[in-house]
Amino acid sequence: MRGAYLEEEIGGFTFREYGELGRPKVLILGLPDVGLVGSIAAMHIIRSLGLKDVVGVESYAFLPPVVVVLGGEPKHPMRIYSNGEVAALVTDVPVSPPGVPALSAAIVEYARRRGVELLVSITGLGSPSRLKGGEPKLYWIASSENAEKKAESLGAKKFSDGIMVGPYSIVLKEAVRKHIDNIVILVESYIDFPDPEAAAEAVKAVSKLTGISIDVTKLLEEAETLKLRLQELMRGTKEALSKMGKGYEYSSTLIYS
Amino acid sequence: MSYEDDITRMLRYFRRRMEELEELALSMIRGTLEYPSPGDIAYKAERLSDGVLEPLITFHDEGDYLVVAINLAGAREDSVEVKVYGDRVEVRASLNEETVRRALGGLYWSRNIREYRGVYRLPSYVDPSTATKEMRSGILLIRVRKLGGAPGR
Repeated sequence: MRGAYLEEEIGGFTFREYGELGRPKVLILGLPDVGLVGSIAAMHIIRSLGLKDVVGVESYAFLPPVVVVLGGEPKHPMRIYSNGEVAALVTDVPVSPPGVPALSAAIVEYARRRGVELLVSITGLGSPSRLKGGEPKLYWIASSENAEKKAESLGAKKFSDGIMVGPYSIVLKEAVRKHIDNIVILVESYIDFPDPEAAAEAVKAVSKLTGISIDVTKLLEEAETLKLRLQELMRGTKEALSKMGKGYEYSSTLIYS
Repeated sequence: MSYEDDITRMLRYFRRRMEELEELALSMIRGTLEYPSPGDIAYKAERLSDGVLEPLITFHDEGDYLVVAINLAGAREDSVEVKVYGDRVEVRASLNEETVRRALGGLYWSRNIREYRGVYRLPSYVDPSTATKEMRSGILLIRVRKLGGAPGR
């Protein structure tokens, strides 16, 4: 954890910049959610593109008192990695449910202040068909017409009716409010287990959106290792999600198309 | 309506809003400070020092059947032992040392992790004689016919 040369407080969260963020056009969000799809996909993108750890996100009110040690170096549990063109946000701890709205809004505002053009939210869409070995299907939601045009390049279905609960729902609402393009990538996944195979589909989608080729071979090779490694994060996330009312996602909307 | 009535109504309104804010703040503090209890930590530490990991489990209701899925990533398939009872399922499996090393290598306690072990209460009574088992991508799937009622409820 290096000393920050720039600190910015937004809605109770401090963004400590200790490296060169640059002017990334795309910010990928890998917050822990169903199947840890976003976390795994963002982690793979960071490793594949060699993104550097440049920003720590901290809140002594909403994040547990945790420091992560990586290669002997203490780090913030929530970090943004960047290569100047693409950035990705990841966290090693689940976010406490009361902090989710403030964090999500703070991320969108921080992205706006740094000139990010596209926020990519990656999440799992809990599906029992994954237990039957079905290939994970991909859907998308776009915050604007411009984002919709970009999302159409994915060749996937638009998510038409349903309820989304959790950090990405606030990110989407704030992105609409602040006129920032946000594409939510939803991939069918295990509900309660880490799902690297679903994350691989999300990574392929990010490749299409950004035009940067990201190979998923290694991610698929390491799938079993990741399912073991991320067990405890999944356990904590599952608990946090149930407190957030994640169960609402399995109810129907009042009005339908 | 008099000026005094207006003031009283306004004061009541602000008092209600203040109470709501206070409740919200308290719920946020409660949520923020929910850390594992010392008992949970001691239990986890004891299991880990025994070299045991408790696998994640999930249930899927298929009408007449219950599907129990248990994450046994990194387990040696030939070592998986499962016992299905009317109200619970017990599982035990040895972990592949190399996978544990790759997955948890840097963590000091991981050196001793040798096996998965778990006992889980089922959400409904089942007929164990109908149970079928299958391993798929590190996940153990048990499909078993449901009987009426829920254990322990």
